[in-house]
Amino acid sequence: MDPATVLPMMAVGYLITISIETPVLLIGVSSRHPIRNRLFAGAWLTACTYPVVWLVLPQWIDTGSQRTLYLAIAETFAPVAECFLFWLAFGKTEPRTRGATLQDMVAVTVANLASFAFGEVFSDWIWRTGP
Amino acid sequence: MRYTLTVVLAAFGLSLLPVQVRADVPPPVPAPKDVKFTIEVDEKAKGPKLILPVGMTRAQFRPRPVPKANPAKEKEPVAMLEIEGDDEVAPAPRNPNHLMIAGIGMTLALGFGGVWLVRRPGRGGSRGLVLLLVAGVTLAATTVVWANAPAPPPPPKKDKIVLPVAFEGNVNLEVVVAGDSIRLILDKETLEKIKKDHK
Amino acid sequence: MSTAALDQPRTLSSGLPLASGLIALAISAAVLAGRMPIAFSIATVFLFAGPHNWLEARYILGRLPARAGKLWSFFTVSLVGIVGLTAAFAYIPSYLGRPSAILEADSLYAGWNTAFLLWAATLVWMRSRTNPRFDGGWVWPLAFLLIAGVWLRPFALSVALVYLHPLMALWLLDRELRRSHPAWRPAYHACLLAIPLLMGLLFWRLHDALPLISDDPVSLAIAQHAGDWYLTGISNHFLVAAHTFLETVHYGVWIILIPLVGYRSKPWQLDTIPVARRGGGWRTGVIALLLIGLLLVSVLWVCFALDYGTTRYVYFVVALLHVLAEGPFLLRMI
Repeated sequence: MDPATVLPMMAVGYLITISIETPVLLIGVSSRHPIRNRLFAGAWLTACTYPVVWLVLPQWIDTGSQRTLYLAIAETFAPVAECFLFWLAFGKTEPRTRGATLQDMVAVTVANLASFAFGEVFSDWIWRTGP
Repeated sequence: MRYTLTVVLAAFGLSLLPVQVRADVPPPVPAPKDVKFTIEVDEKAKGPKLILPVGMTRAQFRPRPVPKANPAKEKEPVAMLEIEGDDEVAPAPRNPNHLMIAGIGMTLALGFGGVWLVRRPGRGGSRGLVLLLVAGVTLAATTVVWANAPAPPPPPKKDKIVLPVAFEGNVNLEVVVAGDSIRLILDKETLEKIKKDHK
Repeated sequence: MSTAALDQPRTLSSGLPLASGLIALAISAAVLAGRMPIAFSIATVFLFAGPHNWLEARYILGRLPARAGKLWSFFTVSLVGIVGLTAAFAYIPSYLGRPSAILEADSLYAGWNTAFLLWAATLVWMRSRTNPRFDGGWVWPLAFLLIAGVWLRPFALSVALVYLHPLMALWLLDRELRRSHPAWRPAYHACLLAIPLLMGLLFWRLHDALPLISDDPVSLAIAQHAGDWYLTGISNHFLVAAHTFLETVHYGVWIILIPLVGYRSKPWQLDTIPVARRGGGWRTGVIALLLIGLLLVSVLWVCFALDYGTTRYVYFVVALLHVLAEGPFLLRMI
């Protein structure tokens, strides 16, 4: 994997991903979080997990022949890690209720699923129509 | 001040990353030059040995070490090997583990950085978001700039002259700090073989 | 710190002698380095490399506390890092020369740089937890970001350190002035601008100059030290001149300016060395250390005279010890 190819692609992919996930987080996380923190989380959470998904996991799993396994691990890792980071950074924001925390975790997971679904649909469209 | 410094440092660190696009530009191929060269015969030697003073090669500190397994090279005669010794500027295959470790480093940097920005005492306003945006814009801008950099010019083509092979085999290469001459030490067996092959 | 020093007005004219000295030093270094980079590099390293190390060691001894006390963990981590990183750095070339070497140069230097960055970050973190405290949370993200960069470009940090290390002396001088002559700092800060200005001037005149062409091993080693194998887009004339300029300024700071403003006595007077004041074996130990240092300076001169190239190579590997030692020392002065 050549960094000269991967890094620019990763940067573009990152910008697309946060443009999907940030609106979901803006709407989805509990109302205890100010808009500033929601925007920050939208850009930050993906930035943290993206290098693992793009640079680390492909060294262990062949993204071509083992695509299903790769997607399963990557799309499990990303929401779990992002939920943990969100909780670490903003979990103590008042009022701390179980419902609010659960809502935050669901929002982070849904944001990840949304970007994953978009990615799959986009890939499929590229595959069908050609670049 | 500390905030500005952090932004500048973060931008600098990020600007390092996409520069990889140009990092594969090899150093210029050195011009051919005459160097002192001696062939010595050591009857006690266990095999041929090539002694190269470090001042006459920069291979030791070059960022691109010569690939170890290169069957094509191994077949070349000694005489050719030493002439082309400094021309080893082709990019070596990149170690994929480097990218993986870099990825872990990025994740840890961004993870620790975000938590620090959010949880540090007396954090003000939207500094964290601004910092992240600045870092993101720097990353995107440098990526675009470097990704659009023109491809390096191809190395000049050299017509290789095929010479009769005087010796074919392995040679023990030793880089020494001192000296101003390349020394080829031949063991008795190799010398006899060369003599015999050229009779 | 004397109250007289604190009472002095903080005007530009207060530190005029120091500022003039630094400006004169920087201009002469830039002119000589630009005109005759190789010869000046050879001369400056030959003359000043050893003495500057001795004076630096003497200065550090004068500032170290007599007892580590609560700082023992900081000093232990510092010492382990200084010795371990220097030994590892010295070992890398011999490892690479072995036929059995498995790791390649880029992996080894990236690994070394990673260890160096983690060590430095640990020290900053530890320092931030002792008085006067500061928020050191930024150090880990910065360290990991640099580590990521190091694995993408394994030699970039090593080359950067070659140019950044000479600037450490200027930073240490600033810390020393804050402690002993705060009134001189405005003038000092103003004349520090001369360094980037002169660097810019050297770049303007030499960035596209004809390359320094010489086949002798010493010239090649000097150009290599300045990173011409890495920064291939710039004339190595500029690189060697810039490195020699910074190196000379750094020698000047350690040999002339810091002893003038930072020593509270003559270098051979041991009363201002806290460890020596503990008496008994400690005093003897300090005397022995300083005498051995003087002997090493003399031996270095003899070795330079006998075989400059080899001595220079060995010196710069061993000299990493003092480069690394400046880090923790600077941190204690912040």
